[in-house]
Formats: sequence, C-alpha cells, structure tokens
Amino acid sequence: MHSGILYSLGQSLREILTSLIGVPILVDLLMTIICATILLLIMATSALVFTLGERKICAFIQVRIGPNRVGPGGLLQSVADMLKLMDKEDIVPRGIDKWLWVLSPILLLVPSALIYAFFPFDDGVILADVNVGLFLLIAITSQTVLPFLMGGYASNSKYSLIGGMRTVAQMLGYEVPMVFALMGIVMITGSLKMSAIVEAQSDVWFIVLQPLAFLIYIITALVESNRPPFNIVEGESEIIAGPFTEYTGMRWALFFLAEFSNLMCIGILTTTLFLGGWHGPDFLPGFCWFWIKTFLCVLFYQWVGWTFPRARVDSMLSFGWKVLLPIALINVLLTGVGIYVYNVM
Amino acid sequence: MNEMISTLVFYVLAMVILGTAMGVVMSRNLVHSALLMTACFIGVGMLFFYLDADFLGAMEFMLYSGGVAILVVMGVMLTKRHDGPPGNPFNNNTILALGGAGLFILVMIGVVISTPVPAGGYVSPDTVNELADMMLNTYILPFEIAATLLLAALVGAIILAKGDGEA
Repeated sequence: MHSGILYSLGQSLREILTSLIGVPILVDLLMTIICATILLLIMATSALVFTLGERKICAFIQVRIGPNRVGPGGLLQSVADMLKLMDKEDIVPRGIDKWLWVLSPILLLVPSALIYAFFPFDDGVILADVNVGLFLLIAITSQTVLPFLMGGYASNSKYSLIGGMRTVAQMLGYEVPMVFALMGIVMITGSLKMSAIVEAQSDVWFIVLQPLAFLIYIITALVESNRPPFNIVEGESEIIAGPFTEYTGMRWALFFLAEFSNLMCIGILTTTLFLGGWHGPDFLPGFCWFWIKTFLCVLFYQWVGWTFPRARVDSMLSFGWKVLLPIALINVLLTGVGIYVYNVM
Repeated sequence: MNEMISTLVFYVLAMVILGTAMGVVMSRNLVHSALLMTACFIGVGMLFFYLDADFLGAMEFMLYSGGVAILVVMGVMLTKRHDGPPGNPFNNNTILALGGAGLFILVMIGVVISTPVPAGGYVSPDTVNELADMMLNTYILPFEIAATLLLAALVGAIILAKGDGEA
C-alpha cells in the first residue's frame, strides 16, 4: 500500500520488535518512543543548523563578514554559542511569580514538539494520521500563546508584560485569516487528514490552485512564529525581547529552541500544504524531496526576515483585520464557486 | 492488560481535571486561576480524545483553552495593582456557596442516573462530515440564527466600545 525507504524501514523495525517482545501494546509504545526521540533529535539539530544560517547567510545577504574565527570559516560558531549558553549564570530575578516563571519556557516547548506528530514526512511515514489532522494541528499551535503570556506576566516587568499582551493581540488578528486561508485547501481536498492533503497534490500542487491562500499563509506564518519583520512580540529595539527579557542561560535557550522549532514547523507546513509534501520526481526518495523543500522554505522565511525592517504594531494589527481577513474570506468564496463550476462541467 | 491501562488513563485524566478545577476556585491569584482553567480544559480535551471524539477534543483545545489567553489579559488589565499580585475577589458567603454547589451536584447526579447510556460505545470514524451534515442540512435554521445573533453581538460590542463621537 505504501512505498518508500522510510516506511519499509519502520515496518522491518516493527517486525523485529514484535518477534523480540510479542506484546502488541508494548511494541506500539516502543515504536512511538523511538519516533519521538528521532523527531526531538531533528528539532535540536535544526536549531544548530538554523543558528548558523541566521549568522552566516544573514551576514552574506547584509554584506557583512559574520562569524569567521571558530572552526573553518566560522562553521563551529553555533556549537560555541551552545556551550556558552550552558555555561551562563542562571539569574532568577526578585519579585517574579516563581512557578509561572519557571514553567513558561518548558511549557512553550510542548506544543512546538507535539505538532511534529502530525507531519507526513514520506509516504505513510506519519506518527499520528488522525481524521481532524489539520484542525488539531492549528489548535495545538494556538496553545503557544499562553506560555508567552505566562512568562510575560510572571517576569513582573513592564516590557515583558507588553510583549505578552502583544502575543495575544497578534494571535487574535492573524489566526483567523490563516484558518480561513487553509479552508480553501480543505475544501478542495474534502478532508482534514494530513495524508489526504498530500495525496491530493500528487498531480497539481496547491500553490497553483490556491495562490491567494498561499500568500496569506506565508504572511500569517511569519507572524505566528514571531519571525522578523513581524516579530513585534520580541521587538528587541522596542521592548527588549519582550516575554524573555528576564530569562538567562538555558532558560533563555529554551525560548530560542522553541523559536527555531516553530520556524522549521512553518517550513514543513508550507511544504506539506502548498508544495506537494513528499511528492517529487522519482530519482530521489520522498523524504529527500520533503527536506529539500522544507529547507528552501525555511531559507525563504529567514531571507524575508533579513531583508525587511520590523513592522509597526498598530499597522500590523489593522493589516491583519482589515486586509488579510477580507481577502481570506473572498478566497473561500472563490474556491467554493470554483469547485461548483468544476463539478458542473 | 489493555483494559487496565485504559482505566488507568481515565483515572489519571479525571484526577488532573478535578485537581485543576479545584485549583481554579481555590487560588487567590486571578491569573493563576485562569491558567489552571486552561489546564482543566486541556484535560477535558484529552478525555474527548480518550473517547475517540477527535473533533470535539480539538475544538476544546482551540476554543476553550485558546480563549483563556484573552481571559488572562482581562484579568491582568482589570485587577493588576501597582504592588503585589492581582487578587481574586473573595467574599464570605461560604454557607450559601456550599448550599448552591451541593444542590448543583444533586441535580447533576440525577441527570447522570436518569440518562440512558447506550450499551457498547460507538463513535463514527468520520465525525467531521457527520457534524457538518447535521449543521448545514438538518439544523441549518438554528445554525444560521445562532450565527446572526453572534454577528449582531460582535457589531454591537464594537459600536459600544467605539463610542458615539467617532465613525
């Protein structure tokens, strides 16, 4: 039924485990643990790679030299950064709400890691292919708001609180257009299942059928993942990194890790929803196409961030409500008419 | 063994839901209350997943748990004092509250006992399509009326908030 190297690899691993253990529920548990570990490793490694990209390629685009001392051509810079972060003093400010402050960066990682269960990496390679996949995915992504707000509130600092409030405002303003934009895809596919959405793109990618939705999606994705030019939640020059102003060392690194995990996540989502997922010419296996497209998307998102200056808060919010939302609604209408005409013809 | 694990999962979920729900009421900090409420909603959403009702579980995450963020903002904006944490408005009507809660529990027990539970749990594998079919075919009129009412409330709230002078 499914083909591909990753799928048969997983199948043979399951067969070996079944012959060793024999109890189906334990085999399932072990398989899930193995998959989750691999996904977490991918997440952590991608943070390393993206940091390097953030420094080297960004420097290249902005005509700077960038890090060039650590390792050949500065390649080991992100490793050095990581060691430095681990070594930093863990400063706990006075006057904070201790429990919320400690929990905030940890809870932030939970939804970012959880959504990786819903990504189809190759034909049949998906951890949880539930019926309401896309909807559940959006629901879980929207949970990232609360840890930000929690950290902002618990830090008991003006800048942090403003940052936390901004998270809620932008979530409200951009979640709605994003959901409406993705509605077009769901209407064409006729299903919320992630594997079905990829399957529906085996002939034509949705970027061709839904160009308007694609445009809306890349804007809202940049906002939702706090990437520049829409990183008003951090806004280093306005509110000094917002919710994580008061965090240092490893606690700060967790915010950082969540940010890069979200960056890869929007790259994967763009690939899966608009660029055909693991589909591609036959000379490379599916998961290779998947990762090539994902990294190109991530590069694109980072490129946008390095090129444009940060948007102002008020203009950004009114743009979300007054421009993106109507366009998204029009797109839903057009898609509906298009499907009707297609069915009649 | 499967049965045992399933029961265990249920009781763990029930404990999380009840514990966080108690926390919502007992906490003296309004923001803590709101955040515990999120935990409670997430527990309820998990319970839906446990019962194979994927769509309702996702709905619980999206609407309820997501909506709490706005509640927290309200809590911070309305109650934050210049010194110390925001307080929960408490009063001394313990006996009245106890009576009310006791009555509510009695009613709920009555409802639970009198509701016939169909034997053998069955959830259709495709809840989304069936729900959509019900909402947009069978019950289209109530659905539209509710939508119009919500739209009117939205517009009304904006007009009230903007005041007379502008627009």
